[in-house]
Amino acid sequence: MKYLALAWLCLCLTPVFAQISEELPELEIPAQAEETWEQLFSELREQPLSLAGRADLFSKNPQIHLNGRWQLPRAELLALYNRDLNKDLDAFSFRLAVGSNHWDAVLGNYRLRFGRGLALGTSSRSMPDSLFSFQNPLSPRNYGLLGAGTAYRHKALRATVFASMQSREAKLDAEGRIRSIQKSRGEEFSSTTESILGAAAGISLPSVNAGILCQRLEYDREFVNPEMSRTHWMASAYAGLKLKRIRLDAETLLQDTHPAALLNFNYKAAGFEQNISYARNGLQNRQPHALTPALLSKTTDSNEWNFDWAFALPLKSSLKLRYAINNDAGGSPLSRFIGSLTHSHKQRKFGFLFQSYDSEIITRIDSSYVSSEPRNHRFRLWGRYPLAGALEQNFDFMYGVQDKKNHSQNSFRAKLGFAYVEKDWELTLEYLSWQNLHESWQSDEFDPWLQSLCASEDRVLSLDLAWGRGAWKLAVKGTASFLDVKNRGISLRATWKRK
Amino acid sequence: MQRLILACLLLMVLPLGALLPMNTASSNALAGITLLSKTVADRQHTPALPFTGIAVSANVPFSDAPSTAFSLNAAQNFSYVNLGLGATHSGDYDYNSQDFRLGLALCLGDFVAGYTQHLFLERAGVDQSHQSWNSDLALAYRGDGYGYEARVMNLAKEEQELHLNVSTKIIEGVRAGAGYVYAKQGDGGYRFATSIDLAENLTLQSSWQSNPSRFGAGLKFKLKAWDLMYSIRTHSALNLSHSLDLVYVW
Repeated sequence: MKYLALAWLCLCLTPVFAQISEELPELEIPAQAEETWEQLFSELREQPLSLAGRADLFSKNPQIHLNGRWQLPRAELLALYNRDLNKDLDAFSFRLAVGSNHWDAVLGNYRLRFGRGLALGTSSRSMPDSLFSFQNPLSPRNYGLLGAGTAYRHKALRATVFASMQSREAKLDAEGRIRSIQKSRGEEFSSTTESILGAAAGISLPSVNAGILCQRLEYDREFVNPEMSRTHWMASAYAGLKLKRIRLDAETLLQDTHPAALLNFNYKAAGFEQNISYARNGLQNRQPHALTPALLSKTTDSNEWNFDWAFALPLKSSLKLRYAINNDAGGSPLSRFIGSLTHSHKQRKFGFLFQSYDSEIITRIDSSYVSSEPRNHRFRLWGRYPLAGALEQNFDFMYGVQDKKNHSQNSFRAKLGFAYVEKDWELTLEYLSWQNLHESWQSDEFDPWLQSLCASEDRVLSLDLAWGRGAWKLAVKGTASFLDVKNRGISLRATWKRK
Repeated sequence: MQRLILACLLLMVLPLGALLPMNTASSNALAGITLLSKTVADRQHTPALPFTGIAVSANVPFSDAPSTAFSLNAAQNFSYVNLGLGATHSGDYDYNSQDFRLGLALCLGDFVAGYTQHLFLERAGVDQSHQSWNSDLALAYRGDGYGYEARVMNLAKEEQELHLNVSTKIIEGVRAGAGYVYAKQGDGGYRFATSIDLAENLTLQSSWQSNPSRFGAGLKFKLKAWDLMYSIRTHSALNLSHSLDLVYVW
């Protein structure tokens, strides 16, 4: 089964020009959706009461999004709605979070991160700030945890209890057994009821974090795979230690009889940072509600070593290097080397990224990825800087060497953009061109599991006009393709905020 | 010195050829002698330009509307380095081409040395685009009295061209330039161009080139930081080419 098919060239079709990640984008699709939602929540949280709507019309994937946030005394209500106009499909989710000095509680759709996120968490590989925390929900179409959770803290003690129960779409065989469980709502398949009950406890001191998590997961149907039972038990232990410039942390996980582990060593000094991590994946199928961390392949018994270095250079520049090697049981090692050089000074930003990797790393995740060379290379050059007054320019160019003999087989994506801001108005013009070997799948900006077919190449011009004053911000964006007359779309956005 | 350069200009006006497409009004009017142009639009034709600004250009070659080329160029200075970016799109759904380019120019006084990397895409029908990487290299001196430029277009390719240009100020407001183009494939050619400031806000630029014999002429209107230029270029066998540049300078 194809786990995730995508078009790396089309990842940045959206006007987002935020953080440029060093990692191969195919390994971080869920993380990109998380980032998109975090940006949206960040915007909604600027005022106590906010509503944001967006309608993508006349496009291949027409959708309507309505999101709201209401800040109450010691409480926050998030309400998210999505309508897929092609499938005539509605999805709604909400989360009520209540907090006090000692208690946090959530009701509705939520996510919980524990430790490094090996058992429960986000796609972020960063070291956690706390032992566990309730995270914002993602798209209402995604299946996250649905139920209630509460966390208690008293001095160094931490404890949480959470529960989730929902009906999830699943592919069933003729006998009603589960073949696979969907990560996103599509109303195309049958369903199964999922029940989760879990608890975690630990201590959190300035230099030490330690805790354990225990969780029970149950479905109301049997699985086709005889190795999977209706009921799963999972236990995870996490410990983190800070010693001046050194940070050590580790998480181990045992799901049924399958162990997994993640160990990390970090050294940070002025202008220098080094990170060494080791991960072992023993899970044949990850938790259906958990987003897959990038560093682990889904193959059982795989080990991965990661080495990261970061150096501060003169002229407000920095150099980052990463080498990772993945060993599968019975397979040859797969490695990737990543180097990035960035310069950042006030509004001026430039970067160069080089990635060299075994192509099998991607073909395991994306079966549509085609390459005649076992070792592939990618180059990315990007920049953003002011031109004159309120006029700003950005460019982003990526080129992938997948075939050395016939360079016309190689993939590229080039974007040239201008932004002009004047008082209440913001105008953005972008020209985007890409070419890939074949048609491929593009992940939705808000839902990494929702994919639409993306042309093998296109040239797209987009114009975005935004106006904002007081409580209102309105925007309209038009896109038109030079190669496909049918590929045109309009996106309308409106945001309202009240103090 | 000026007399010597004038003599060189006269000697160089001999009938030979010209090859690469000119997608800006300025280059069409001046037959590609960019020493006489002061517009960032021409950054797509030479890497050795020290100017900053943003330019939008449209060129209708031989009055063939479906072949219209739209260009966008922008350049900004970062200390001694001038960074130029641009894209050109031409054609329609049946046949089209794109040229993406990124150039760096090192500006030391009146000397400019530049390099531009192009990614050129060509697509016919529903076939996949064909990619080609082209490089341009140039060295120029742009003094008040005179200037010279040597540039290599499509470096190390079959379509490689060597352009040698000189220019001089004849009187205040009047400049002339001449150039020789050596093409690796096919014939090269000579060019001659003038730029005359008719009024404070109006400049007339014109040119002649050999092989094939073509005339170019254009008018540039200046209004504060904005330049608007329209030019035409003849051809011995085909219709007129029309070009328009809109430039914002800083």
